[in-house]
Amino acid sequence: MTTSSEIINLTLTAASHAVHHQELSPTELVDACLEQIDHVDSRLCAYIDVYADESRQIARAAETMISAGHSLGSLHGIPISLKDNIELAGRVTTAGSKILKSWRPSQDSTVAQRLRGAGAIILGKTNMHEFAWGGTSANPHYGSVKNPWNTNRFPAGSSGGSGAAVAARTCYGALGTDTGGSIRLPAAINGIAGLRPTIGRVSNAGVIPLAWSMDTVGPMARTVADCALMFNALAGYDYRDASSANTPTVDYTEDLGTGLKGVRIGVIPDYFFTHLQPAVYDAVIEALEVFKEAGASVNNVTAENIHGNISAQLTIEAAEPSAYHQKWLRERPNDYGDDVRLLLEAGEMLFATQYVQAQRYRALLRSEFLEAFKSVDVFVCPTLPFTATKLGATSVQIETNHSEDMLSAIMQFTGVPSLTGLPSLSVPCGFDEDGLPIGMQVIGRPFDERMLFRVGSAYQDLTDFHHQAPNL
Amino acid sequence: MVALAESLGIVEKVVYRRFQNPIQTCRRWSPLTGNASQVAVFDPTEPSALDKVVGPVAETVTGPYAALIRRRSARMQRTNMVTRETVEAMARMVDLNLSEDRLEQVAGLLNDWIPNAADLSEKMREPRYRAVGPITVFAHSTTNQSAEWTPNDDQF
Repeated sequence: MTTSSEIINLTLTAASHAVHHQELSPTELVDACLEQIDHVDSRLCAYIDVYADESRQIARAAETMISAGHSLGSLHGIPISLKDNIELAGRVTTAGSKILKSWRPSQDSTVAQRLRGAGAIILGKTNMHEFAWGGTSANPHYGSVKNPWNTNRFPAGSSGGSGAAVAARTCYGALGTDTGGSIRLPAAINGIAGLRPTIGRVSNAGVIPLAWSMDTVGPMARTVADCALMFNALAGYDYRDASSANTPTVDYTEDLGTGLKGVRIGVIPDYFFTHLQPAVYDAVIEALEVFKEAGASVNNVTAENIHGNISAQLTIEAAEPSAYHQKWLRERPNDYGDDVRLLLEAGEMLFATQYVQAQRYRALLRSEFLEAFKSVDVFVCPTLPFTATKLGATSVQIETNHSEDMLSAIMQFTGVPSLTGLPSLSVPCGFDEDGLPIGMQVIGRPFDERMLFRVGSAYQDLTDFHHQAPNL
Repeated sequence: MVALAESLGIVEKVVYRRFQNPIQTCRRWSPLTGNASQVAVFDPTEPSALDKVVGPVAETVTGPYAALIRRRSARMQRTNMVTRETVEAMARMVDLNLSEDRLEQVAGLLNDWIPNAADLSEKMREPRYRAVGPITVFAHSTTNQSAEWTPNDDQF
């Protein structure tokens, strides 16, 4: 007999295998997840809404189908959670805000449709930084999300609820959204994997925007292989999204297990290894050693234009949300949390020419990286320069005796893929002396998510950081 | 681990104080010992100048670091340029009603953002980037997009 604890500790891939071989039923998976939510979420505040009854009903239907030999796809009967800025028809979609606390969209987002089409059961909606504009998931309306590894620490954000929900084994995977790092940061801080796809690879239709020109939706799960399985369902052209790319998709699980022999890894020491906590530095250098031992080459690359990316990111990420929120900011300013309101107000006062120059800088930076991809297959760097800070912190100490503003400090390494539109995967690569997770980013060519999954899964085949679980 | 770090040239590292600015205060820092020493000001767009300590800002500067020092001077003029009154005027222009306490807070944030945005604008108005236009999505999946590169200014 399989216990609830054993069921929730399965990876998504293992759970899918068990469902398809009728070793476990979708009902057992859903019940185990709901039990775990009951057990931990009062401490984590990872969920805004849980669809317990509906999930059980769908699980029973999925069970009937699978016992009759019918499967909707690789996610058949798998409980998945969605960040609460992703629309579900008839379900309240708050985006972590008071302003949308009662808003019920009339249509599903494309990504929700695709997950359901592959058989996934939508378990609930996860908590987040208000309107995704921030990196801490300290939410004044629905409570601050806590880190499952230490509930006095932050889970990063803005998809902090999704990160905590997956790490705490309350679901097998979750969707996050990533503008400046909002999937990769909570993935790293919560010790799970998370993919920011190439801009245009996954539809943004039915997702409440933060900054249109940088927004993406992507999978978050315990392992890289789990993310690849979810990504197979998510990727593809969508006529509902004007920026959707009409380029062919592939089987993103195809290169899993093919190793690292011959893979050329680029590092940029002058930027990504200059300003980070020693434990993070050590963990990523150790990971590079693992790559080398597995047959990859590690090459030093320079990127002349990389400095300036934080400013470009802040300028774009400040101006675009302020345009989206103009009406509410004038009519309901007191309904915003203090931090988001301030960012939106300041974003109104940036100059149009500065915004355009920041967009031009993106093209410049992207060209530089595309040129570099002629000599390397992926770049590897830390996801962020520090491990989980204390809850409520608005500044962070990376160097001894020196505090920095949280917002610019947290996205100093995630900004490059966000601006260039390149895909980027965060993979757990260690723990600091307090047992807090560390993540590294693998950045790839446009639309080459398959290579990221190959590199990330090869690393996970050789390490066990992804098997460790928080003690809740 | 040390060998690999050394081969990548990242044992001795530069710690950025304000990494997004063209002129930055930095320290040499060893991740292995945690020791920090040697305060310097440098231009991160010119990694070869990392060790160079730049002297006081002068009205007229010549030599290899002239551009750096001129930019430092320009940046100092932009420091704390946004005041409560500036924000009040701008808020009026965009029809945004801000209370007294918010004017100060917004000014504080803009004093971080606008000088950095101005620095980036200064970079992007260099003649060698004249042909670079904004592109936010990939039209196709190849990495052979060198056509995005800007022609050398000599061609203009």
